[in-house]
Amino acid sequence: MPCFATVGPLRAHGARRGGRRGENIIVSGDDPALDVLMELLGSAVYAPRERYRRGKSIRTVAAGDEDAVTLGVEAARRVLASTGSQQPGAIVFATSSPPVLGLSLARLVSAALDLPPETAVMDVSGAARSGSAALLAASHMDVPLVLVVFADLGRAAPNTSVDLSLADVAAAMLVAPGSDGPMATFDRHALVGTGLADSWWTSDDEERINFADLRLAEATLAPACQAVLATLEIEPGTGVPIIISARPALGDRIARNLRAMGFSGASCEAQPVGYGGVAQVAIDMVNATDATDAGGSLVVLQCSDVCDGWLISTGVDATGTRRAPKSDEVVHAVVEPKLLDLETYLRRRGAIVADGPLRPPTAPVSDAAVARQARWKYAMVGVRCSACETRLLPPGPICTSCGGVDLVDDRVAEVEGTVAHSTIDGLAVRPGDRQVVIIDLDGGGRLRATAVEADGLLEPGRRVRFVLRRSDDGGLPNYLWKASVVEVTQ
Amino acid sequence: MKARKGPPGVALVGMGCTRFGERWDASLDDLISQAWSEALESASMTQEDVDGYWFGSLTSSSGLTLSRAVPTLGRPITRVENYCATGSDALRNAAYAVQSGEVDVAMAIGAEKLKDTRQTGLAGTPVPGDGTVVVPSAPSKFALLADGYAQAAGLSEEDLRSVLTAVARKNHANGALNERAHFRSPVSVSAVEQSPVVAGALRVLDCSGVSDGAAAALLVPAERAHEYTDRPVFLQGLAMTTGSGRGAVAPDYDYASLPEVEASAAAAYERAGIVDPRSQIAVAEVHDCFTITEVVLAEALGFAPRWEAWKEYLEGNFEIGQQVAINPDGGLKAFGHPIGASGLRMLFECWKQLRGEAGERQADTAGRYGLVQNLGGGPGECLSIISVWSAEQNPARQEP
Repeated sequence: MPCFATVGPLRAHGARRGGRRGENIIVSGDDPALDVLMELLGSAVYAPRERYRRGKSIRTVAAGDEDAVTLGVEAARRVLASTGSQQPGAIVFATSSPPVLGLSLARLVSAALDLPPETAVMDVSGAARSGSAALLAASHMDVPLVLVVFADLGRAAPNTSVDLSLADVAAAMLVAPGSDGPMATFDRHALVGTGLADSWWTSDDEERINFADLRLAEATLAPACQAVLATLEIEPGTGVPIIISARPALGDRIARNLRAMGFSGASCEAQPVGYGGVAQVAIDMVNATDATDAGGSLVVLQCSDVCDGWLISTGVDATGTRRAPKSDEVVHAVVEPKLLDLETYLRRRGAIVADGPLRPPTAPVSDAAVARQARWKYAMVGVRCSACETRLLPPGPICTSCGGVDLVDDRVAEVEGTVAHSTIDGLAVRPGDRQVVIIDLDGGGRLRATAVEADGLLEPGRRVRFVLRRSDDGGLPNYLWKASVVEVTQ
Repeated sequence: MKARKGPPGVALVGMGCTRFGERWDASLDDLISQAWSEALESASMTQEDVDGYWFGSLTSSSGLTLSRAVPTLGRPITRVENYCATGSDALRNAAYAVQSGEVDVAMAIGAEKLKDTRQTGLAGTPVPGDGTVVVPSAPSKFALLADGYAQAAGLSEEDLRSVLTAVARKNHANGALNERAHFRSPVSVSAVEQSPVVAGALRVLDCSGVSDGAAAALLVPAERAHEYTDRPVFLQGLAMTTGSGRGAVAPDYDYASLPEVEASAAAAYERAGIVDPRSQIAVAEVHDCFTITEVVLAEALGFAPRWEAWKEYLEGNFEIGQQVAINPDGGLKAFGHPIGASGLRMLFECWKQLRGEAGERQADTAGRYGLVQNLGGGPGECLSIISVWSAEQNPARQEP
């Protein structure tokens, strides 16, 4: 079966084998597996707080002011927080539900994290296998650290069985190309494309998967998985854990096929809040590495129209413990997961549209103004007066308290605060703008913001942090920071 | 702020004011011409007599809106816009023009046609920005004031509700006596307290409405006032305070007071020689954009001690017939709020009261002052303009 992988020119591969460097590489059928050698330093998952349940099915539900970018930023912040102050030199952003076209979403994430503008960015969008493609791209980057962000909104006709199998979720991995390490290392990658089935959709469509689709996918993917395993030199009967990362029904079917072929370790991870699209492969990888003994190996097969196989080895750090949290623990580590009733769920999904107040237009977003204030807008970088310590939020040219002009940058996106005053604005046009809060920041300064809808009314005294959200001003996404309750890990 | 000493030397000799409301029958030109004509007629003037105009309007872009509507004969027209205090700022600038000697007769005129926008807020031309500025609705800003005041004054939710209801009831009762008011029906306690919630503690009947209307005032040097009317009204104090605009996000702001109003009141009182506002001021037209605003204003203007105005409202102490009548014409609650016109509409009631022409609403103004307070903006980010008036050119001054 013909197999091929195209990879970028950023970093040489096959270093351990003394292989090819520099050029675009075509790995052909006679040398199909690619040594990737990339250390996994940390991972995190972000799932929205709101859930919709019908019967035994439960899915995460992004609020109206969340999209793949905001979900991804939240996951990225968490992985960077968990791995300390290491700053990635590159960001790869993977999604099959990009909120806009034309912009680099990886650059948006980079800006939200206040990374330097020279940070390398790469977008891998559209395909269901974008998660694997993003990891493959990261493995080629010639920088010490790469932040790979996976985010998707699961979209099918609301409240259908397919819809209930999907999730709105993001994951992020901090990886070190070209090195191995004590937690987990991506060792090898191989892929096999299946026959092209008529199962794609446009950005305006909603996914429809029926039984025949699953049967066809099973029939084409099972042998593709077998071929990938052969390429990775995984023989039947070895008992190596093989994790099938796919839609739940499809994953189970492929795993059953592989077990019948002698791959007794084939299984499918539970998806407690739904199938996470391009993020699912990252979630499955983290779960599987956490579940594998130190010093062991496992394979993750991401199955879509292409089967991507990853051979991963696991290790332990100096203390004998893992540094990455288990993904499903993170998924549930939110304050009071909130179940939505059907009507609210349908409103969140835009299937029910309520009349809003007829209000005058808000100020349009100016590209020029954004360019001038980009660090404030995307990363909440204000200034602090050196003379009187007053925080100026947003930043200005002169301290409005003392007239001082010696102002130093002061990023407050990661600063928490306390609600000083709050109210509900019944005339807000967008539901996500209804909560008005005045926040006293730790370390000084006060901000007026809106709070995320899922939190309900934030009474004075509540502790809050900031999260990037979006509004739709004039039809295009406008990103801005909102307040949200400080989460307490349960 | 430094207070200027001495009488401003400006007199009000004529006024006009349209009926406010949903004026589907009237264009902006109609409203302007009605207020303009009535003002000239009340001062026995013609258009030839007016030397300059100060035109308050949120939605117009220049003085040409005025000159297209009425014959202004090429006289200079300054279009004024300063939030909800636009009408008072037009008056303020007209008064300074008279005081400086640049003009002998100045007209301050304000007009707004808001209902044609079909919107529940104020039309404007928002300036493009970076998309990060949170602009809550006006009701929600003042809902923060309600909560802040209740907390500072130790009011329970029920107490706060009772106070706000008392303000709404008083002003609508006064407005029911005023043929120019937008809303001319008294409201019951249940009507107020069962009206839909707009923001926080504020319900529909805690909010002023969106209206159409116009009002105009003619100012002349005080020494020439009796050339135009036998009952002029004299400007005794005029002051404006513009806050930093950052109070809403200043950590020391309590969302329970309006420091800008306190500062402007202190300056205006000093100029007018007012040392005891409660006894010296007979009528106060104040900016009751929301019921809570009037409560906080009553304290800022010195009509009640800090954190105690709410008790006075529950006792009915600011109704017509009491020592100080606040908003005897019905206020913004009964008139609605056509931005450019409101400050001058407030002055119209002051003019009527000091001349003894307020009919059923007449307060005992003999030997005492009338006050107009106009607010622009919201808690922590506002400006305040206050004018103090009397029927006597040189009223006896009380010593502090």
